[in-house]
Amino acid sequence: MTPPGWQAFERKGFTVRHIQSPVDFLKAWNAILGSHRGPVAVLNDPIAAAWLDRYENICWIPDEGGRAEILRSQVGFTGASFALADTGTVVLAEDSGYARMVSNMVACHVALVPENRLVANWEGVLERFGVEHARQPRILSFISGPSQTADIQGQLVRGMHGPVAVEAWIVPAVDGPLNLT
Amino acid sequence: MSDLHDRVRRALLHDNAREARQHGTQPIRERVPIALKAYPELQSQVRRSKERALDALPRLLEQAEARLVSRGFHVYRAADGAKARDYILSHMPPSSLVIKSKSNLAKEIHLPDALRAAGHRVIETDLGDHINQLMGRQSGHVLMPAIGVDRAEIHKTFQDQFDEPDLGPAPEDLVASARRHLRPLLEEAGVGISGANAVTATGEIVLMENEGNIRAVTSLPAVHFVVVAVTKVVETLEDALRVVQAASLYGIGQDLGNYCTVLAGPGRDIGPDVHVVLVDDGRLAALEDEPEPFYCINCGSCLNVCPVYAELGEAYGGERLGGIGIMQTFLLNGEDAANQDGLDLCLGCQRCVPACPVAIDTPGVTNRLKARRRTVPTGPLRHRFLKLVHSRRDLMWTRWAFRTAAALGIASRWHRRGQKPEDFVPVLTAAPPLPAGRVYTGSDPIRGSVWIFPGCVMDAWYGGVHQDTIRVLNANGYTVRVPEQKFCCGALDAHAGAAPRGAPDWDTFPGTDPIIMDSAGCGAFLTQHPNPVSQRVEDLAAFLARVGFRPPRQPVPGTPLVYHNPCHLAYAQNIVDQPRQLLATAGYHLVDVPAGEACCGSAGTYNLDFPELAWTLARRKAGDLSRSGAALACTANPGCLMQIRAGLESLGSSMQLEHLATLLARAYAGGAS
Repeated sequence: MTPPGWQAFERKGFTVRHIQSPVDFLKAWNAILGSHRGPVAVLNDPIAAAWLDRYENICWIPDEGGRAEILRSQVGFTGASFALADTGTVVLAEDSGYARMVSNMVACHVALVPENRLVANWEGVLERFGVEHARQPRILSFISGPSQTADIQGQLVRGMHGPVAVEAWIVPAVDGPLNLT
Repeated sequence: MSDLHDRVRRALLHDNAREARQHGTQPIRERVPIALKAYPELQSQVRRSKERALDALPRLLEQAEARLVSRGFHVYRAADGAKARDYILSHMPPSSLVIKSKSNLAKEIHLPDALRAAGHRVIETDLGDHINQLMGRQSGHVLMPAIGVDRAEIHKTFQDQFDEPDLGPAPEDLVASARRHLRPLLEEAGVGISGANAVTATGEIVLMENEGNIRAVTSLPAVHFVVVAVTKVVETLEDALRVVQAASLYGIGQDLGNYCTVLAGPGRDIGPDVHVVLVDDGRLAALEDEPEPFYCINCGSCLNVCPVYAELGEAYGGERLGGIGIMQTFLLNGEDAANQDGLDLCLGCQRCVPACPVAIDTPGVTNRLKARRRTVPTGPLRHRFLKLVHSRRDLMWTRWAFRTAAALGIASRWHRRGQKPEDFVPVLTAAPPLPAGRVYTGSDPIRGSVWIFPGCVMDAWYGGVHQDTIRVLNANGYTVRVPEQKFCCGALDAHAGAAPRGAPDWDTFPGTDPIIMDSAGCGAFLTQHPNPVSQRVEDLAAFLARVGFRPPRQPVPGTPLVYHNPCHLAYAQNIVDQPRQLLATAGYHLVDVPAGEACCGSAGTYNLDFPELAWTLARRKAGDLSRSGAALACTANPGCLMQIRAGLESLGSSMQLEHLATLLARAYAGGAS
């Protein structure tokens, strides 16, 4: 069941999974690999690393692969710096540039969102950065659902250039830096 | 101007394109008001932030440039389009594959043409733009470039050009095919070109989209050029995020575009070298003159509600679309270009003003620009009509001509023909103009006294409506006074882009009593344009709703009725519910009407300049009202009365259209007509 505060994500087309234990994670992992067969790229950020360090057959970005491996991948995992309750948005803050690529060039993007990173709206994100960060991250990506287009007679179709599927996995609280990489 | 009229005539023939546009914009019109409910302050916040930014633009630009450089961007301020093109070309490897996302500015400065001429290959990556590129057509909308293109045409084009003869026709098939075809190009490209929704004085670039192509264009190639107009600069990141949120909400009814990217520097480890090209191309100078058109955040909301755009699509405008684009063209490229693009095509219905995330007064500014022209390209008929309006004696004389025309059936014959401007023949009321200085005493108990504003056309041709207005006010306990002097409010001249003729004698309304209007157009003009009595001017329906309407003793027995809300009541004065409430209280049974919010096409003297378009709108409106099944219709503006009556007659409909005052007066008279 979707915890309170996260309903907007489902409205926006995210598959929301509530991960409370490694077993939950494994079930979710199996589900995702069942529906998206192909290479998996994982951004080596503190959130994704904590959950995926024991998993095999994944390509750690940037340690084990870069642009070519990302472009080949079907599934991309990243952590998320924030989630916005009002618009159903995950926010990836980074300096490196890899989070943007992993989250955009795969067929399915999974964002691991620590439950303590849910804020009301984008104003909340700017506030947190103002308080906790001396310097703003180079790239902020606000992602509010799968890639979509309405360019053919106004009809909404998912999966134009970016991921056809997006998932938000709510994981237990993670403290630490807001920047992913 | 003949090119313009030819273009209008040709565009009106394309019913398929109109249907496709309607199909694209209708769901947005339905979604936007619902989505906006959660953001009541956004419009005024965005407006204030754009005003602040453009007010201090030279200073903010310098700040932005310095901060962008300190964050690791290359920055170039281009004085004009040619310099922007040269800069970009000189920083590109030869024979590059260029992937481009949507940029109206790039189109304006002919960047894609220049790149192709220099031997580069340019791929439009936005699906709509890509469809246009494959089909060799112009963009039909700022946000939905392929809006007027039929799905079957897209299907055929993809089958041929992507070499996929077995491709299915479903939108999902077409999108998947475009994805397959474009993906390798995204991966191969050496150069990316994007626009930007906003640039901040604190050194950030903000981009929004739904497809993910912008994220690809700005991350995959080795070099990325951000081509952005100087007027996109705002003070802070908060302001910029409000701009993109407003663009999504007003543009497509979405609370945030699916992808919003904030660049505060190029990627540290991966991603392109980023050049920010800030293009002036006359904007800083134009801001000194008329800043409002440059508050635009390119969301396309005004196009989605514009009755002229609905009919004409991309034929309403040139390189820039719609009323907003034509104002910018006037200021950047001069009046001849704006005339040719269709400066005179704006109906002035004002529906775009509340629909704009920055509340840009496109009709008001358009009228100001029209009045500044060296030469006025208005037709001779309109000119003659305006002369007539300003000659009271001649206007009186036309009363007899038009009444005779109606009595002999000439008017209805001409309406059935319904092609030329001369075919619009007003169907007048029998009552003569109001006697100047006359006082009509209200019925007991007396609640107060008011003035009636006689006006010009209204007084000469619709004296009966004035009489009905007086009856309704009297029945509500108000004594009504007719002023000694009668004059035109000035709206007709303003719509036509002519200078106002003489100052009205406002002393003819002494005291502080409200001045009651039964013409929505005059009421809108007098409340929106500075004059000594603007605070006292009040529409009949709003006045009665405010003071409390006395229900008739014998309400009319549930007669079905459709109400057409005049644009100048609904959008210009925000008077939407009051007329319906009065009609319901009087006993009428209000029936819903499809596309009830659409303009009838009267718009002052518009039907004299663009008769084909005006007749199209009149017939459409009359058809919508007739289909409701009611035998009676109501409106509250002389222009709408004239126009819709002509439309009804041209369709051979037996529906009766009356003014609100007339129907209320009938209710007081016990239902007798």
